[in-house]
Amino acid sequence: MSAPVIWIILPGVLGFILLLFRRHNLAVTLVGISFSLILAWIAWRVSIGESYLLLPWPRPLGVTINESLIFLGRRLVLTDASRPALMLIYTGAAFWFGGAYIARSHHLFVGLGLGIAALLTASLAVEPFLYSSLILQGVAILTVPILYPPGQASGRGVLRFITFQSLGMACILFAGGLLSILEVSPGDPSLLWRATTLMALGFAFILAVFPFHTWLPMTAEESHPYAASFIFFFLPTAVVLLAVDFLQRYVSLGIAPSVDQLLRSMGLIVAITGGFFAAFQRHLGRILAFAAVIEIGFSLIALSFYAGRPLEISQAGIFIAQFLPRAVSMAVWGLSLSAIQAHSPSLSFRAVQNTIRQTPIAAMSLVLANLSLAGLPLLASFPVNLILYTQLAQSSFISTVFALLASLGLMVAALRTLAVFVMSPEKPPGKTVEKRVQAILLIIGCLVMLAIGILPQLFFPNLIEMARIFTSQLP
Amino acid sequence: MAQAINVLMSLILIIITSIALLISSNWRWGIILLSLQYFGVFLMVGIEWPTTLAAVKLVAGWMSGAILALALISLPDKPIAQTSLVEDSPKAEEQLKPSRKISLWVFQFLASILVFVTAFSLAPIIKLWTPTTNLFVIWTGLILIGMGLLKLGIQEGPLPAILGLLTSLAGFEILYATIETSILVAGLLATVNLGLAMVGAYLLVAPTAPKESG
Repeated sequence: MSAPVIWIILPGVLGFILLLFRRHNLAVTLVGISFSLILAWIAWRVSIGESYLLLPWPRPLGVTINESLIFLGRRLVLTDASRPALMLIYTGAAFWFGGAYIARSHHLFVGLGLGIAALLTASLAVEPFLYSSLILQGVAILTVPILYPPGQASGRGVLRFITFQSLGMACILFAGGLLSILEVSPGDPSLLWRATTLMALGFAFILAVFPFHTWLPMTAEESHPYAASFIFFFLPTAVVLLAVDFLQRYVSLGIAPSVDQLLRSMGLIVAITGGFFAAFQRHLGRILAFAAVIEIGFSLIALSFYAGRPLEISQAGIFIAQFLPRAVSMAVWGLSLSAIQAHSPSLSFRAVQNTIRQTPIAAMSLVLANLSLAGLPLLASFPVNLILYTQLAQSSFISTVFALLASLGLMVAALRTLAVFVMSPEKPPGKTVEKRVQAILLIIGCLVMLAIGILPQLFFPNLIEMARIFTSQLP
Repeated sequence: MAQAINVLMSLILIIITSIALLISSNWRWGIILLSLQYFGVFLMVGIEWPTTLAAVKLVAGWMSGAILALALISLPDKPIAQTSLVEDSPKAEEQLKPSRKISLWVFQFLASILVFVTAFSLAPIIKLWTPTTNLFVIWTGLILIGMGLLKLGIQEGPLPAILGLLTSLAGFEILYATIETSILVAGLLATVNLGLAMVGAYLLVAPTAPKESG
């Protein structure tokens, strides 16, 4: 048994099977959650490459999880260092599938979501690295039916999304080709510079870095908010993990000199753009999209702390630790938006006035999730953001101010949203229409956000341990 | 000498088809022109790659066209025009006055001339990156990338967007063929082409499909 079979082939096949049975929505959701949790549990408990005793009786039966699989002449490799990423992908998938049924996501969500998780894993596993961009293009193609299910007209957002992803793929492939020339005959610094520039452009396209972020708010406005939050979390996370891999691999080619400063500057520009636009939005979905933009910026800043030098656990810890509060906050945000959208003609400010009377728990959860991503003390993102600001302040005070301004923009958006939620509409509001299961799920999500914020010591040692595994086998 | 004529013919074919693809407003002509354009791509890629491998591009391109055509044929309300430059309705261009139609064509033609000029001026720079590559091949690649981006930029709707994207990707594939000859990459790029065509077909058909409740 090899690791790529367990974490790539099996979920991919199961995702396809689940699509065939999509009419049985509840059963499909339960199977998707269970399978994702099992995969996450295996990634947590089992070391890749070691032998395990599976059955002691009647004859001892052992199993070894091999690292690699040859697929179409190329290697898919998942080492022990990949386990944190695997845990992250499959726990996140289970988490999102958990709310999918309640959020009334489309029947295709779980099947395609599992397929996307498998492809994202494949993009991290494939060797040589440049094939990852082709796999990410596959992810983009699978994303379209999730965001725009059958029966729904597509808007400009999806076309822009698929265009940017395709252009990003082309840039990364071409840069990969140039780098492979360089690996064979090193010594041309101009070729290295061109390849690096193309690679950076490719990542900027795929990662929705300013000014290529425009598909995010457009998509958030046009598609189901829960599906949008799923994509807004998973796609950038996988691309950032891929970027770490890329930086580590090409450090030896001398790509490093100013890449950390470049990443930090890009991260700050992205974050401040997201914060600025979030503060002025009048649509709840678009605010979520700009929150995702800010998070992409913060990921780039975290990435800049160790870009260009061997990965250290403490620095990787910040990077890995960002994912947990982000996942919880974005899932709660997406679920709250779905709950509000079910009883509102749209998610524009005008349409959601006085929502607090109709769906009080969803409204409060949305504001809490928004404030959590903004880094409000006692909420999930605060401990990680605090470390991020501290690290940033050591290199540049102005950069810290800019990062704080980005968070401030999101905080302003939260306050404006709250003001709209309690605003009295012209006609009298109806009674509370919130579903009990939905409310319970949202309350649990909010409690988790509070728990991560108040008791970070319970969660962070595990995240640091993940960072230790993550850094242990990188080249 | 024979190869030079071959390259020149391919370049001319690609220039004509890319301009016609930009200007044409009929979806049937759009698909036919895309197929012809892929024939030019096949000839260009055939300079660097073995013919059998270059044929992958042709087959993938034609299949992409077929997928889009099947989707358009199956639509209950078939779009006569593939593009809507002025309004959101797909029939908007059809309703334009003849004088405005001509000015639209002239604008698109002049914009494509600008793309050609840019491609010809950029080609020597790209030649520095891959010195062994034929300059005509670089021109063709850049022209297709530029024309695809132009179509993406000035026309709306799923069909023009996917046609533009396929055109751009075809240009990239011509350039990429000069530095990479892997069979797997050729296969994966063909899959990407087909995937994009499927996305286009899906986006065309999805609004007419019955809603499955969530």
